[in-house]
Amino acid sequence: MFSNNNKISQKQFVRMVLLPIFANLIFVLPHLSAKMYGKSVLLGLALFLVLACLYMGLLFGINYLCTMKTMEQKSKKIVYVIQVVRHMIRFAFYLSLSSMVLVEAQVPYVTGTRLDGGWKIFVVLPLICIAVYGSFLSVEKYGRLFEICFWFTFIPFVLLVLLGYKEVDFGMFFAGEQPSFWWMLLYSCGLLVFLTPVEQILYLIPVLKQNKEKNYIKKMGTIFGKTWVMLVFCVVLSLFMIGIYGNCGAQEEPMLTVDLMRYIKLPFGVLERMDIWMIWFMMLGCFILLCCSLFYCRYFLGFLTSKTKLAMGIVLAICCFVFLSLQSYENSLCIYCAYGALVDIPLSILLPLICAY
Amino acid sequence: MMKQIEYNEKNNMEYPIYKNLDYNMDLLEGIFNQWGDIVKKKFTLLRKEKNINIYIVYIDGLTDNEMVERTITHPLMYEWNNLNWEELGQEKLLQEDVFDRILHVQTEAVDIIENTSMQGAVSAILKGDTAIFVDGYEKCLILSTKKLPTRGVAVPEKEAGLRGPKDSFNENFRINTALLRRRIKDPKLKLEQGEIGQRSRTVYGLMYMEDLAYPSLLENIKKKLSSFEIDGILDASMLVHLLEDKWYSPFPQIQTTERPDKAASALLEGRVVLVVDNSPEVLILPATLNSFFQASDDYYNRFIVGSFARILRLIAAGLAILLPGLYIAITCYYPQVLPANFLLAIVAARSNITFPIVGEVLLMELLFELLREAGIRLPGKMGNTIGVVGGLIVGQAAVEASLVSTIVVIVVALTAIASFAIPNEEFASTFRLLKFFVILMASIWGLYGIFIGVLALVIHLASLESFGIPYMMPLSAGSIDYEIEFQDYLIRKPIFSMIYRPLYTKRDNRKRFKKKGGNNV
Repeated sequence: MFSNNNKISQKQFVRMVLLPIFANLIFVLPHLSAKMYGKSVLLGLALFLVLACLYMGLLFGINYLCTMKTMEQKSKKIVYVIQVVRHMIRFAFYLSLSSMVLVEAQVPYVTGTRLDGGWKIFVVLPLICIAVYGSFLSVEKYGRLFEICFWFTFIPFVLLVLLGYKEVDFGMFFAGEQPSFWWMLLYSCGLLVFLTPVEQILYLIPVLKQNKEKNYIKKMGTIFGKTWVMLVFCVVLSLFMIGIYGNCGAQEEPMLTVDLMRYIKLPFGVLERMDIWMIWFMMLGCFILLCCSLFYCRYFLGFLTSKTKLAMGIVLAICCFVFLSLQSYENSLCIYCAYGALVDIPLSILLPLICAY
Repeated sequence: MMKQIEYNEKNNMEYPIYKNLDYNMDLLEGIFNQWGDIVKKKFTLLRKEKNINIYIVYIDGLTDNEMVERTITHPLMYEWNNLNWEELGQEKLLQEDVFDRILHVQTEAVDIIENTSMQGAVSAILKGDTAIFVDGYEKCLILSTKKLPTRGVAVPEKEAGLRGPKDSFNENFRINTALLRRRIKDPKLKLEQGEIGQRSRTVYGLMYMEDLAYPSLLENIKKKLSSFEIDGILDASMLVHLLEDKWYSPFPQIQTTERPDKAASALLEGRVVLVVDNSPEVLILPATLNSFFQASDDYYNRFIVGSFARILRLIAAGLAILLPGLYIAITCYYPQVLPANFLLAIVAARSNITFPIVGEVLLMELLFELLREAGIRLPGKMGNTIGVVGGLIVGQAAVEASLVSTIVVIVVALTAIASFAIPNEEFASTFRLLKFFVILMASIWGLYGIFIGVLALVIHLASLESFGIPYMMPLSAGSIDYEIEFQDYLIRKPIFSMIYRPLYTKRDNRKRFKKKGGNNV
């Protein structure tokens, strides 16, 4: 029989890791790669792929070194405080991203092409509430939630591939300026911040069922392998989207992924504006990101204080304040990438090492 | 003066059965004081040396009077007294234990037991048994003479089906257990009986297959059953509320059924059936969301027909919960998603309507719920009349009076039909209720509101469990064998390919189908 032992299966584990990566990359990668790499988008994405492999390899190495060392054994409170702050920053950025998706979704109370003023919090509030609800689930129920949501997230992209493949124009990749290699390297480092959910593998190991088996390394190899496949899938899908929208168009449109759905037409003109329906799945992606960052906030807060609910209330209040003070999505995206390259990525490598040794 | 009876905090009395029959009679007089339907009779058995007094007590209406007469009073009063004492050996008879003689020789009943406490005797009398007290003995005899008022085995009303057996459970506990025993003639089908309710003393029975049900599940159920004290349990549904973990959830976490074939099928899957006296439904534990979409018909029809019906039910569930909300969201906030011709048709239909769309939909939905409620309370034929009057006349009049548009009538009617396609009434009610939540969300935030509402439900469902089994099984079951768990989900596979029992069954005993000759299909 099933038991409430706060353990998750490997399938749930993989989905808990993969979904945030997919949601992260699919929203920002098509636009950012077109904008950053310009004419060299293929080369740039290949560079990003190489860096991502290096980063994941590094994490796998750390995981190998720290095998069976559960993070709480040699925990240092300061590490958890830093983790909470990192997830708070992510949450504030994801709120900004979600508000952009909501603008694209043309939810009621959107004025023109903006979601601002008092309505901003009124519209985003239900999404925050639902993310809080999801984040307060125990780890096994959280795993179940992600298990259910997993395939639904891909629906718009399956439709996109099925109905949009004829529109791809390979000539459209090569437009715009060509940055130098060093800039491309820097941009790729910035993009790595959207891959940081991989880091959670190291922290979730204690909740994985049968994590003390002999084939532990093989199991971890499978998890990292699936993550790599997901990464490649996201890169290919991004290229596909840039191919449909054109490199110049993709550089200008920050919500390319959502906007592209407008061009999906069902056969026989069954429904106009498929993008409105696809918004549900896009918002599912936003929910996954918000819920994920809040869940890990709560997860780490659990090691720091027994009054998790109060602490989470404070965390939420701060995040909402930061979100309301953010000027625009474009600005926050740039700041977040810079923060990722300079602070978040180094921390994601250092902190597990500090925890284990 | 009447003896004052004292009860302990569990509403039990702690009196023994006294050797002196007069004490016992006083006690019983006190207990059954002002009971118009109690039958108490003192008899004297003639013995050569000393006559023996016996005292018989039972409740008229609950007891088979004829049986009492045939098996107790007649043999004792006539046959024993008419014995030829000389021939039988008077001395031997005089030495013989009177109590044992009544128990083993003189009564013609089979189901007769000894009892040593007054509480046990009174409980038995209250269940319809007959108690026989014999002077000089600190024990009494309990003769099973129950003849409770009950109705016959009828056709299921709430879970009717075109194919399959047509019998259903009724209020009689023993008939219900017999209906299950009739279907599973296996000594491993166990029945553990108990009582619940300090005053109602309702009999319940836990039925399970010894080799299929998880012992931990049984322990869990027993623990829950003993975790509360209550005055009375009048129906199995009351127990549902007490056994469920998340009482505030709109979704039932325990399945109820009035069909014995469904309960028997659950037993064969390793689930536990809880039979409660006075209830025409039994409880099946644990339950999953999927189990509420399964109907008995699915397994009696050809697999393709059964699978189609099941998919249809799932779509119906979606419509029942979402359709009015979607109509509001699209017409109020996103008319651009509709093809132009359809949009024009909606605009034309709404041209004379004064109410806003939300008001229209709410008005019609509430009217439908009102009609449904009124239809249930009225006797059969009058209930049908309400349907005609409400559905046709009031609906038509509302459209003609420009209170609602024809499209809204279609939307509400479709929603109603969809909600009735869900096989479990309790489950369908949940969907009808949640529809209002979705309407509210859609009217405030449009499609975004519907998304939030549905997501809230999904999170809630992901967190639900029924006795340790995830409610969303097999969608969220961790590491399971897909072939086993999805064999009876959207598609009901052919019977011969459902080789294994579902996850409820003990891990080492999952195989349920084998082709003769030893080869699996």
